[in-house]
Amino acid sequence: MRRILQLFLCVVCVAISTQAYGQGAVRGTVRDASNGETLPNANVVIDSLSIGVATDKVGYFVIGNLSQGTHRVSASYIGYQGRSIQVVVIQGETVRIVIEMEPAELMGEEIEAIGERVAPTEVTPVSAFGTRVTELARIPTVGQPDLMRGIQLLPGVQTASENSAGLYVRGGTPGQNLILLDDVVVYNPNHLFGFFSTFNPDALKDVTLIKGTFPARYGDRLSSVLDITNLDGNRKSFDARASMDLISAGLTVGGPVGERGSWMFSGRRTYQEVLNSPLFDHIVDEMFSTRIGTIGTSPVTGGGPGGLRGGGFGGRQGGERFGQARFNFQQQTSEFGQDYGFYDTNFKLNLDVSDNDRVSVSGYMGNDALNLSLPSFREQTRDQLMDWGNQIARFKWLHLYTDNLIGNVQVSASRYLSNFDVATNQNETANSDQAGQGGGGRRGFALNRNNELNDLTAKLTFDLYSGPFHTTRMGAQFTSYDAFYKQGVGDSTRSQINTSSFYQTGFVEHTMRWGRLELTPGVRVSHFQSGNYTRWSPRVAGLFQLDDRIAFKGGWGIYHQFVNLISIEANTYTTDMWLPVDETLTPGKAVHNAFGLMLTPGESWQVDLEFYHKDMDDLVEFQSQVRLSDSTPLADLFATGSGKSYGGEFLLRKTEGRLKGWIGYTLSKTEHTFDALNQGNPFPPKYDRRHDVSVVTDYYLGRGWNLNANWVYGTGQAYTLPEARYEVQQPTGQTIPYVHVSEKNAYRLPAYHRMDLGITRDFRWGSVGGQMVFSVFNVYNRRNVWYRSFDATEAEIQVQDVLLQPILPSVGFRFNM
Amino acid sequence: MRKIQWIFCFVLGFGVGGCSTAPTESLGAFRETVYVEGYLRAGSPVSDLFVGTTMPLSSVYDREASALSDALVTIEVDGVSYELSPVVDRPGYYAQPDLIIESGKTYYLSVTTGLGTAIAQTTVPVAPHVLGASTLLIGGDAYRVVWEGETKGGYVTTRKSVELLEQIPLATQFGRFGGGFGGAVDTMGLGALRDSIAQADQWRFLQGRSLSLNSRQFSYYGMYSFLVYALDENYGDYLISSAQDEAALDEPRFHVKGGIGLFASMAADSVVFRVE
Repeated sequence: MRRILQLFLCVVCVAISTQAYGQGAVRGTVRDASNGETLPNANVVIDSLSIGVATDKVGYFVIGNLSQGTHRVSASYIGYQGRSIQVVVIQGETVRIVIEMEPAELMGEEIEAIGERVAPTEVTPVSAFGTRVTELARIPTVGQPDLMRGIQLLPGVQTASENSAGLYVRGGTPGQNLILLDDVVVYNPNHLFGFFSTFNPDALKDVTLIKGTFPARYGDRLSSVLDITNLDGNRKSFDARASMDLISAGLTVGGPVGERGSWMFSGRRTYQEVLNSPLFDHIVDEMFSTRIGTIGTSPVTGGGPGGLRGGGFGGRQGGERFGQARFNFQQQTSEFGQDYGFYDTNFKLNLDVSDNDRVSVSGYMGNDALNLSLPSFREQTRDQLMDWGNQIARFKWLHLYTDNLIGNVQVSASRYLSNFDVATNQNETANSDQAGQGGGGRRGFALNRNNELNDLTAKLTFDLYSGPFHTTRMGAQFTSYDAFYKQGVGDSTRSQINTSSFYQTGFVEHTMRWGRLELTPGVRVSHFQSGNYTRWSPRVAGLFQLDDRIAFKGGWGIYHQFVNLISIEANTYTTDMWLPVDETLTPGKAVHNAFGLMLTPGESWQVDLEFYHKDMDDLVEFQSQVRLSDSTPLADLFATGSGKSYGGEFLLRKTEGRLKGWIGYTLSKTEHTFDALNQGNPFPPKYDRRHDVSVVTDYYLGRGWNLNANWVYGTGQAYTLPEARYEVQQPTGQTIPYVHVSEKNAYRLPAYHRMDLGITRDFRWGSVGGQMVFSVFNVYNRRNVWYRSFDATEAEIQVQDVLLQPILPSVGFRFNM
Repeated sequence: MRKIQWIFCFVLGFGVGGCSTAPTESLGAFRETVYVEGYLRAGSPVSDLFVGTTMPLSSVYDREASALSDALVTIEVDGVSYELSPVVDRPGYYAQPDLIIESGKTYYLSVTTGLGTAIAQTTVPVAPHVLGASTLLIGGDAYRVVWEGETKGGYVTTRKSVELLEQIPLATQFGRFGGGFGGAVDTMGLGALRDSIAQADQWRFLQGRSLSLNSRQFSYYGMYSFLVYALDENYGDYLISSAQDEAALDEPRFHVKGGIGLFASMAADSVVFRVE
């Protein structure tokens, strides 16, 4: 730890001592003219010099080393009309400006892009995709706009199924993505077991996905970064937006705090208990009936709780084994009762306490709750209560030490919580019968499972702009992890894991531009107390701009991960669980390589071609067949192994004009090798897709009408086939039946494809504006297969395809004032 | 308007092409695989090593029908190879009365059948030392049994009734509210804690070195023996991973090359205690 601090202080001193501003400079903020929202990742250039920078997350920029005289500063940002300002630079002084940009939607016309063709961005654009959330929110989905659904349509991003908002990025799993909301880690990005994401588009401003080779400022995950920024709130006047669709209703309000700040509050919740939505009913019923159909319920006589299929610890127990005591729920879907709902809230308060100081407080709170009553089975009823969610709070102080040195102090807390309780109740007849067998007056069986992860983090970062060609970022972070897992039966605790650990990390990265070359080397060093792991993560990304239209890019980096998400591949019905590594479980490691090129064939057109290769070691996969005891080492819960993923991605994107959208194609292969799985032979994970195509269009028809359409195609999901039967006989004589299976995931479901359509109408009634959205999900009613299930209840194993959603129309309204 | 027509045609085209329902494939082709099952106990001869095959999914599993009685089965230890002989009237079972299993030694199994040769090995663990147990009072505090030893695979414990006396009244077992766990409850799924006749002699898998016994686990007063088996890695791995998930379908962790099954070993210690 001392070495980390020494390195950090050394870099700070060197960086500050090397800053040189003999000439003038321009610094400022880029804002939305309509509401004063700052615009991150906007491009700001000095026209005469063709040098430029990108605004940071708070819309701030500095361009130094400018000669004395008049300069024209131009700003551009996707979806906004370009804006230029003339400034007079005086030697040795800094000009402070605010650039306000008009949203393009207000103009209703095609906007000419301003600035460099391949403009600089805040992240060297290797494997990165950034956009305003409003762009993604227009993509038609089921029921309500969803940020993650839009992200899933990008090349290199795959899904487990349309029932999951999880992101499988370049062969990684959702637990390997670093998801940040205002720089705080979000551990639970899902509602309804992944069907919806927790990110309310009405509350969000900007999103950047970095699919690999992400810079040293981000850590520590193996796969990707999804960096999301909340809205700051309207700095000019009070505004309110209301939304209602067939899933939820929401309200977002915001306004100025005097002349020096803003606030924003946004809330969204399901309203099924008030107003019945047939779409909501359909989705929830489909989700539960198909998933519950595979839950093993072990009656008391079996000797233990059923647990969920692959549902985390314990799994199937006692007498319930493959093909035994299964609850064939699919025939009884109409008999169960469910009460399900979710909510989420976001808030933010910003205050410019001085010209050089800004504080902000933000937070998020989201929760899902489920109360499920299952029908009578073998004289029992079962009540299942689940709730899970994430709470986040953050305080941030931004201070401008000088015009070119920004410091950020951030203190945050992120808490993930999941609770699961299931209880069976036997009727009187069953009680008396079983009591008569010497069982002893059983009243039923209760299982509970609780997981909690508390992440308390303090972070200090500095951004040093040493002229237009050098930017240094450095920081240190201290995190306390406190994880708790408990599984109990009745009033007793069967197993319990309590882990607390400190995590310290520091990073430094430097972006330098030499003519046409931009290079960002960096290093991150992390120490995890539990297990005493110290890991160095060097990284580098570069961009070489051949001319105005062509740029080559490449990146390399090493990544580590110290906290693991326990969830099973695809189609499982359980809440996620997070556990940090310990002495028995080595942190995961990945090495990313990526290279490619960017073309700008014409105004507002972008072509991005990228190839990647990712090696992964010490991967963990939760073993659904593992039985947990109070002394089970953490390592026993996971199979550990390695993996590799490689492929190519193509993206053709149009960012402006009447027709916007993109065409994406991914050719990829992912392979895992785990000693404990598939006899140690390599196998593809379920989410491996050889081909993945997405077409996303947003066409402005005129007079406020927009037509949105997207089409996706993907190679079928990998799965395993049973091939034979056998039984293992214990030394006690007890036998346990099994099926012998094919090579793991050696077969493929039919290819997946689907088309969604949406039409929106913007309107205005006096001071009230709004939007009406009508969308049709799966417009040609393709019955894609979710998963293939095998039921061994009968002597002959039954095969059944569980299908995904049929055609689903939905409607929604949005109002703003 | 023309654009709308094009869009309509485009959607209709996909509609016609996409309305097919995915076919349901049949199950995988049957693959006959050698199944081996042998438990070596320290201090005992090899008496019941089973060799069979997997069976088609379309049939009901029958151990006798799956048995292979013409296999060449050998176990090698200390450089000496012992051939096992088929057990009379027990199809598929093989034995070698001259081979007495010893703790600390590694045994190599080879099974040659018409399907090829399957091999496996096990190192027999050293028996644990169970620290004294004397009397468990019904209605009293839980009684903790502790043992010493080293093992790679964990332990299984079991109890056997030595001398059963009168039945313990339910009210005494569970208190005035009745209820309880509903009888047989076993964390690991390999046996009940209660000593009803049907559930006697079943096993509980542990990775620690202690176990708490309490009143609710007994239905009768009397004398019991408490046994602790130290397990080798093969059996421990199997017990940890013995639940086959219907979705992932991952099989238990076996350590048999050229086939599937268990070639495992164990060594036991026991104490006798009284329930009163």
